[in-house]
Amino acid sequence: MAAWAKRLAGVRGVLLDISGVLYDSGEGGGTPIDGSVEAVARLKRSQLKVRFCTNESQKSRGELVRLLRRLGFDISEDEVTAPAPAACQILKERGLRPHLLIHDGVRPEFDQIDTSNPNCVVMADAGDDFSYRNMNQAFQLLMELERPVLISLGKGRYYKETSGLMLDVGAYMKALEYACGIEAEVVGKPSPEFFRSALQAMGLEAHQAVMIGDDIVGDVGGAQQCGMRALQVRTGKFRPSDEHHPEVQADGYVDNLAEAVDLLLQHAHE
Amino acid sequence: MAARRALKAVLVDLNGTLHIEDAAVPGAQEALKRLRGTSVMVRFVTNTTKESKQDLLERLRKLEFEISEDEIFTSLTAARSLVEQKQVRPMLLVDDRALPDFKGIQTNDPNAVVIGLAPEHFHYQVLNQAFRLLLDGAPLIAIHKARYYKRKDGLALGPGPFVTALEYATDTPATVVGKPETTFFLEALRSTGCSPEEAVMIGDGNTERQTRRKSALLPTSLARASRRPWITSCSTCCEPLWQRNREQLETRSGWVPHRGKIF
Repeated sequence: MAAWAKRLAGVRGVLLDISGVLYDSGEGGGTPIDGSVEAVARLKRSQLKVRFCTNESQKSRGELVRLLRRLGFDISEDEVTAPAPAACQILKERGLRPHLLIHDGVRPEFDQIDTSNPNCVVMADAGDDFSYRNMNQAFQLLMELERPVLISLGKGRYYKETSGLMLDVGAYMKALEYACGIEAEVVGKPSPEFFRSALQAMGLEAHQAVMIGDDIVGDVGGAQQCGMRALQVRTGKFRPSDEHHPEVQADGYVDNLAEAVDLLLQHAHE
Repeated sequence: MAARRALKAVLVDLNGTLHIEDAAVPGAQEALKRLRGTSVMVRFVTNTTKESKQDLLERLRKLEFEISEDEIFTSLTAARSLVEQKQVRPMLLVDDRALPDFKGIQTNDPNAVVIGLAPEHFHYQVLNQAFRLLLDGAPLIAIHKARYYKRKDGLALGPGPFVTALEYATDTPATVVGKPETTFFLEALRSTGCSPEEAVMIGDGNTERQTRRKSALLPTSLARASRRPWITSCSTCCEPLWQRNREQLETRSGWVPHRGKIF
């Protein structure tokens, strides 16, 4: 127990991954992970600041939050850091007009973006919309551009749905990188800018925050690279081999969010 | 003094050497007949992901080449060979026209994935199925990793990007079996019982050129940044062999390789 007190000392805020920590997406929207609804409620009642830091890119923030509230979670849109809005910011700053390789669910996030005469490709977790035809369209466009720009919302390898593990945007990003001989720019975890914007929104320094996620590289590794502490949950996409990852060692491994919150409320003091 | 090894087997590239599309290379039929008069074993090799051996045989017979089916070795043959060696049941993500080359191979309850140029299979659901098999430990066998190919409507994604996607998602490399991978040549030789030092490859240099240019184009060759060790050693130990035997080979078979390149 002393170990935990030491590890969690000085934590004033928590960054929560959503998929695999709060719930697993899938049939009928998805299923909450045992104990997570209550865990979030307890965190909200505590002195700790709470923010949700997700790479969700199949749905808009609005749709995601509505779904999670239906499942009982206490969450609102302005508490969520998600990649699509961050990407839109970048597109505006650089005068980029994207060809969108996305699922329709996230399209509302791009309503303010000029998509005519595209000069780049923005790809997200398109799920079933990663058809050969759609991939080929994006590929052909990139090959025609004098300076091909490929922006990927995250680079995850896979995530968990209720039916099982699913190929994520990262795999398709690698496909286009290989096909075109280019390197994509990643918006979302584990990019440091993304974590920093979440910290900024919470008004905290990295060393005052702990990230809780199911992706040992994207969530845990990425957060640690920014100077945060990070806990790995054994839900979601977690696989036993993640506990012996050659490069990333989490600050702690917990069964689920509920256990993480127990430990935080016990050991993280102001 | 370098050991003298007899030339026992000859691998002949098809496209560009024996024929160009649907026309025989002038003199090739005659050369082949004369090569047959020697004691060397002959294998005809080619990369293809959608022509079965039967298809190739028909095409070659129409051009009046005397060839039997078991002398043909394609990248599909290489894949089948590997599947048999590993004793696995593959999920076949290959063109329908390639299926005859996998006849007799068990595909129920797959525990391996074989992937060729098959756009009709490169959709999310199918690739996700393949991904789940691979994550469970199934081996990934790629016919080749071409980045793209030419279609009437422009460039189109080859199997390479999708193989890369699966490699990344599962953090496991694919075994690529087509030319110019070492595996391909070793497998082609396996049925002759000869070692690389006893064999020579006759090709049109297409593979060699593309290897150096890092080209991504199909149909006949793969892109590789460096020559495979086998080719190098074969050409260094077989170059002298070839030079020594060239006269013999030429005299016996009258064989003049297309564009005069041997590697």
